[in-house]
Amino acid sequence: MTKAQADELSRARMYALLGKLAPLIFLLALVIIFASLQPRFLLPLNLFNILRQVSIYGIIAIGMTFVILIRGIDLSVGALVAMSGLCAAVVAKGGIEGRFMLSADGSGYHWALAALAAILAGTVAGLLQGMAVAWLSVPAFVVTLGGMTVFRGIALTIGNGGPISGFDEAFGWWGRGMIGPVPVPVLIFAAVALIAWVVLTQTRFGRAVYAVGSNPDAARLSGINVSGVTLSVYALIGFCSGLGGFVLASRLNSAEAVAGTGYELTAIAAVVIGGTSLYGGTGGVAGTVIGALLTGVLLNGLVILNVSPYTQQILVGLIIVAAVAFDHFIKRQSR
Amino acid sequence: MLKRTFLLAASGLALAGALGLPAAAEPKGKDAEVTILVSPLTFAFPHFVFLTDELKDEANKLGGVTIVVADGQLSAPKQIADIEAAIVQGVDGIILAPVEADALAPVVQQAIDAGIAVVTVDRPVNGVPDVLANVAADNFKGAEAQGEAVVKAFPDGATIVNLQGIPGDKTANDRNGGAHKVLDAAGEKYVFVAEQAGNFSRDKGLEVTENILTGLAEVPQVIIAANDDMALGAAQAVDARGLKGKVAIYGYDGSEDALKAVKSGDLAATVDQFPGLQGRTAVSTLVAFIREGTRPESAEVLVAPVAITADNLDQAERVGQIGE
Amino acid sequence: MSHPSSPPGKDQQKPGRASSPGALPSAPGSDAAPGSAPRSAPGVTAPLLEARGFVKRFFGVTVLDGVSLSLAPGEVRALLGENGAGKSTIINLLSGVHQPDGGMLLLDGAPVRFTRPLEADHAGISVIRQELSLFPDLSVAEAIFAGHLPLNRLGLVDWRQMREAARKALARLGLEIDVRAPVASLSIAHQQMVEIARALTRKSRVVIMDEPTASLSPNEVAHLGEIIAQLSAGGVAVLYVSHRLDEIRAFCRTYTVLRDGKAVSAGLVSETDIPSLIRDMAGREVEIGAAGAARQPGAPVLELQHLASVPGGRGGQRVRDVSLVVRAGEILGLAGIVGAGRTETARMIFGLDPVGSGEILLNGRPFRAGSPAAAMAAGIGYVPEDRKGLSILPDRSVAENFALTGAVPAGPLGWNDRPGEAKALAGFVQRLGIRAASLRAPITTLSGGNQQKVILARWIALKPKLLIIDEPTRGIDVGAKEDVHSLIREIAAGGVAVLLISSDLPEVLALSDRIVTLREGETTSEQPAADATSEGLMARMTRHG
Repeated sequence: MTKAQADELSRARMYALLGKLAPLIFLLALVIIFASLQPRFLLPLNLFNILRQVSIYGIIAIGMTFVILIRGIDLSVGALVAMSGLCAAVVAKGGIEGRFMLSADGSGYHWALAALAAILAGTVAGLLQGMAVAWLSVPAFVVTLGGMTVFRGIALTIGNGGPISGFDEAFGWWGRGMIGPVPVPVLIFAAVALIAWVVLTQTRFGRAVYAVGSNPDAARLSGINVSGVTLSVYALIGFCSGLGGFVLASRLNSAEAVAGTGYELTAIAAVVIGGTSLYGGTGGVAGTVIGALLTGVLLNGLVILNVSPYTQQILVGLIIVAAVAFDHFIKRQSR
Repeated sequence: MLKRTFLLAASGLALAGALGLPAAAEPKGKDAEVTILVSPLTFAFPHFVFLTDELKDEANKLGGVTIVVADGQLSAPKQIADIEAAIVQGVDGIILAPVEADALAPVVQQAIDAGIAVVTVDRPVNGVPDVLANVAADNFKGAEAQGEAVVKAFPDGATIVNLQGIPGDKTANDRNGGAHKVLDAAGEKYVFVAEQAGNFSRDKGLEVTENILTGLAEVPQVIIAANDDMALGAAQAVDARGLKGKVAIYGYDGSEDALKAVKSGDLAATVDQFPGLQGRTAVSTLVAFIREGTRPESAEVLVAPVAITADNLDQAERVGQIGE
Repeated sequence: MSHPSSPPGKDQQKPGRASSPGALPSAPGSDAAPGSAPRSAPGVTAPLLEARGFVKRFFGVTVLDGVSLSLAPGEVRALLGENGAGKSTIINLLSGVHQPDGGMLLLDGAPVRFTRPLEADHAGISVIRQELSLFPDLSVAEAIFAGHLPLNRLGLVDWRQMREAARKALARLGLEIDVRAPVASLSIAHQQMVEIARALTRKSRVVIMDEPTASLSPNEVAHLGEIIAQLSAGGVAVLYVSHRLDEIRAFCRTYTVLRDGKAVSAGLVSETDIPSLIRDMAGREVEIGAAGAARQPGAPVLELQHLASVPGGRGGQRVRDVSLVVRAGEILGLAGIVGAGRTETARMIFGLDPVGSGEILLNGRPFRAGSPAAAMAAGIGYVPEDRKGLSILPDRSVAENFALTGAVPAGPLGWNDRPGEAKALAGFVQRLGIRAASLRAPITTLSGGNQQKVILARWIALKPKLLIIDEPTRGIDVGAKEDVHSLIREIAAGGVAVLLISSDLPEVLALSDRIVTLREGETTSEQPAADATSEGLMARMTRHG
């Protein structure tokens, strides 16, 4: 091997390593800053708070990772969270008086059915969007921008604009319960992240996702069903949004049409902060988890320091841009 | 755009003329059929859903009143377009909760010029003196009632967490201002230990409260929230920390969920602005004018907000809907 | 493309097999015939641009170690070296993309330091890059003038003047295309010509050409030779980077060979020969163009009968009437100039484009692949021409790039058989001599030649019955080229039917058993490779009648 090749290689290795570590370094720096300004930040209670707060949009960000890996985008996730949460609520309550009567005596159904309803609603909605993107070649931005309005509208229709609240204990456990010291949503997030990581790194499907994002033409020429992958990925983020909607309804003990507002941007931010390229093909679940944590730490830390809400908006924006700039700076150094 | 608006308005006027409607409408008569366009801010807020539902119910009671509803979708252009369409269709009256007080003024003036009576509800439009009435509750006054409820319950002072609405939003500012006015005036024994934006949403209210409770060394005595959703989110966070009953939480809006929570003790109080009453008043005022030409005594029909606690729960408008 | 009417000396300039001596283009006004007098050697005329002792390090690794080279006005210097030898780094230093860590750059004898590419550009140094840097959505005229749009008196873009100038610049290159067409609609060869036109319009003093002929057809290459001669006659210095040694002999007066970041030899092209250049580059003996053992063709695997593409697509009906047979165990060379419909034929066979009319027979039975997956299931493999655009996953590892076609079956639930894949790849690494320090590093860390070997391995591992290989050695270095050639021979010897598409006539002649020529979408001849010559093939690829 020539020196030049050796150089190329060592640069590539440094690129790979630092590229992965950049978001983590930034996260740790942020934690250190907050902890030094307010020691209570490091209380276990607060750390679990952060994890719990991160978990719902974290679940969605995991789905968003797949979408962005294939150079797509999904703006409808926030609306899907609201819609699927209301689906779960309607089933859990056995319907809404005067609108839907799902059970004859007006009693609710088991939480499992409610969860299924939310997940099914999310997945089907995602699948429909995937069809439009993959088969009709409508840009994902447009499809999901439309979806955002449609699903929000369906959510308003289901709840007639108002919230549906008050579920049984078993339903509420999924959002508010604990296993030992660990909140249940955190465990769900961890499970979703782990499964997604395995799928992306160890299976044919994961490889196809990276291939489609890295070079769709090459993927097609290598026999990969690009439309099929696209479709599955949008169904997958629909699934994640449905699951997130169910957990959010459980956590809030209420489902409403305005729930999940802005989740799409938080999820996209988590993915991008985590080092997944908006141009597709590089990145992964591990980065997204760190990106989600970083977002969570940021929002939590600023509130704990009682920073004025006006100033907060400035800081959040600046820090997100700084995090991504830091990531890109390190990657460019090794290009 | 401007040109099109003008053309639309002009054709609306022409149509009105062709149908023989005079620019200043004469009373139509006691039992005349009346068509009214209702354009609430958005149906995404239960407040307006309830307001519209009650308004329709009142219209039914009056009889012979057709209500056409157009969702404002928090968009001034949407509302403008809806009103322009209504002018063309030749409705008799318009009830409007304007998204923007200034942006809606010209089209409201056009409607009035075309002989259509206009009542604003929940919030006024700016600079159109010919609006028949503005039926509203004052957010600032309501927040004062919220603050007074706190002072009444904690005469010796309290540590207070303040959950604000969307930063920069007018309602958020008014409610924040009203509460501050009362509590700041009540002396230094009332301390705001944390003030954060919860963006009027339940999940954000929950998250922010969780974070505040962790960040504070001592548990606050009071949480005031600029709407019920945030208050209910805060109640979740307080419950999760095992502090239920130790923190008094004050909501705002008098929503069903909040009333239930007041009843169960999860919330200390909420503020009822009586949206249903606003809706009923708006439609009855408008129909009375269209049919009989009677004007309200004042163009400002103010509904006084009331802080609802467990003691005066029966005063709440939606208490009938929360069951036993 | 229309053939240039009759430029003087065209036939001599045509790069044939290595034997062609190639009369150097010497336009009127050129100071000297090559090699005739020492006064034309660098150093006598004051250099226009000179690099002295260039050193460049990345992360402590030295990529350039004291390289000097100079360009006098009108000089055409070849820069040779295998991929990774440091050629790109020199180009980047001369054009201000990077700054040297040691040594100095002199322009007209005075030290200069370019901190940005724009500064080099303003100093009259243009680079025609191997990777097309054009803006695909711009029109041809806009692309040519991007960054220096002509303005009228009102300070607005003077579109009329711009289009006219663009047309003229392209006409100088013998290219007649609609300058309002978007660049993306052009073939790669034409895009490259546009890139050259871009440098021409900038009135550059130094033009650096990085592999300019990688995707040009032979007569386009010949034409480029004329352009270079013109530039040289006008006093422009040219640094010509290419792997094609016959071109270097034909176009260049002086040369510099790089190996491992050092200049290992330099001098006058007329005083060296191709074998010694190759030796300098590779550091070992490499034989080029050696014919393989005779192969015994078997039964027909692929048969095309009057195949035509769908009329009215972009660029018109590219394939009109193509008939050919490829047998098991033979290599059929498909020769034609750019635009003749070679790649389009391959795409139809592989199920990428719809078939207009005609028949495709696979193993004697009519066959239509609805998708690449279906074609693969039927035993067809396709190595596309545009490696960067259509083959590699740039961000992914070597191992993943290899495994993409799923040649090693996955376990239950689609679980990747990583050990199985690693084992298969290790076999290919050894067999094909793939040089990669890590198979888990991105494939872009490999040289072009090694990338191509990985792509070939991707397809060979599928054990296809028919392998279509489109431009297998474009832009890869000499040593790797010969490796790829012997690999292709080996595939055929293993009983695979190989359809070889190449613009490199020496390559087609060296590898094929039979050669079919295409012209404007029609087959014009078929003959055993043993009977074919460059000149004869050229004639059938270009002339009517």
